Amino acid sequence: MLGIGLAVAAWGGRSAYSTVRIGSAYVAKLTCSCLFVAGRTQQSCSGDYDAQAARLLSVQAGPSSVTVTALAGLLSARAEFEDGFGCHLVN
Amino acid sequence: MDSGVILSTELHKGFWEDGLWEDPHRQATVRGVAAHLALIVLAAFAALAGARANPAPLPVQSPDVAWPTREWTTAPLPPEVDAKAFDAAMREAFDGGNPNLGETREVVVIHGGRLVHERYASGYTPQTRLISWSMAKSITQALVGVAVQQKKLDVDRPMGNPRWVANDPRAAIPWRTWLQMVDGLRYLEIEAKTIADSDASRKLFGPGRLDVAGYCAGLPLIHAPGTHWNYNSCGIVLTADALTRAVVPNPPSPKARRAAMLQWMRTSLFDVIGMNAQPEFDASGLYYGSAMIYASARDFAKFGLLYLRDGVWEGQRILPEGWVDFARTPAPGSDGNIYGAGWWVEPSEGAGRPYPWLMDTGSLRDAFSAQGFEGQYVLIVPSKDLIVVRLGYATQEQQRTGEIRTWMGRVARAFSAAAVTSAAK
Repeated sequence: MLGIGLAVAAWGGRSAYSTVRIGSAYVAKLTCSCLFVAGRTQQSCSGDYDAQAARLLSVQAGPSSVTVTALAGLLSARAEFEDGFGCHLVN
Repeated sequence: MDSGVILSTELHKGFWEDGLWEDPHRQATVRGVAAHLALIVLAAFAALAGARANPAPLPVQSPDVAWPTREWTTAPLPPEVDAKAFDAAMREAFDGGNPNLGETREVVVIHGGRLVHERYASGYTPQTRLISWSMAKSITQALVGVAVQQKKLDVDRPMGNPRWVANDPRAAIPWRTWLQMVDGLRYLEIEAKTIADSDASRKLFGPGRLDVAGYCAGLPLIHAPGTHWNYNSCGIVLTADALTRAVVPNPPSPKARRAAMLQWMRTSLFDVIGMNAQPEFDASGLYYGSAMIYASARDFAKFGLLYLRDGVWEGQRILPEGWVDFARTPAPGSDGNIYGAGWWVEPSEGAGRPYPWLMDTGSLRDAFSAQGFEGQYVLIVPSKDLIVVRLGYATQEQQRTGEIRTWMGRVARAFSAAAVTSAAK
């Protein structure tokens, strides 16, 4: 029973990690394009994400990049803007 | 039962369900035989295609109306329009009358080649470029058409991918089949329960994020090609990857690859129609193909006009003859009736298979549309000489109510079919 419990917990943890991993990359890429391609404000861009989920993420915008960190810095995603090519994830 | 269906049923049972595929010693033989049988099935379906009714005629541009390459000719709403219904729909979208519509940010309406209405939410302007999401698939269908017109590829030949060995059955699937989403790959998007399960989010933001085509090329084949429709964004990513190889065969680096591809996209399509589009690229230099093109509603409407005018722009043929009909006709022999090639179509009867996707644009079911996540639409109604573009933001829950689709239909229905007559004068 303990084995099954641990397996379920590990699976749940893996799924949660993968959700946060995907969410961080999503927010980094979409915020980057929202700021530098669409030319919207960071406040406007943050309205495009589920507010509850976004509370788990810290979003920092630089002059041509966006970095998102989660899980107390364990996980980070970064998107960079290049003029003419829009934004892409670099990690 | 026709021969195509019998053959495909045999293929399905023989190769994908009885465990033959599990035997590694037989896989090479099975792949080779399956590839040949798949081609026979496709040939049978191609023969059936001739029996289908011709789609509704596409109206030509009036010589009195300038093409909008530089800017749109504007005109008031024509008198035939039910202005009361039209205004009510716009108020509902922009003034928060219906929460299921989400946030409407940009709306542009083109009738008879003229811009007859546009409206923007606070913070958005006619120049604000917003995300296409999957409307990019319709643009990829156009780009493949341009490449066909330039004799760079043949859509009835196998598309292939360098990650697949020669006798891999996926390598035998033609370009046409990928664009129609009847490729048969195992891909989960519309019915995914969580973002961790969805191939859509996994390929763009999860394990596939730095090499999206690599992720897509790893998906297995589970249905005989040509038989089963499944919304497969990965098929369009693989198409974009193959198109990039056809246009830029041996790039020295990812940066050189994307630069050469962007240049070709601009000179072959975007600059021709005056569309200030920003396609984006992954770290491998691949333009995503299935998503991530930014443009304004006015410019998405120009792209719509290219299709409404049968692929002709300012008298020049940009897309091959019949390419728009290919876009708006479901794959012959497929079990779905709501998708053509890179474009959604109104179902010929009922609410639509396998999903109830009917927009109800009026008495004729001739409409077709580009559609994207969070409620992006370019709706084309040939019988009304009409294009309706809607860009905005809607949550998954709001999208699931189907009310944005219904709203698009309401806007189109405010234009009577008689209005097309006055536009064509």
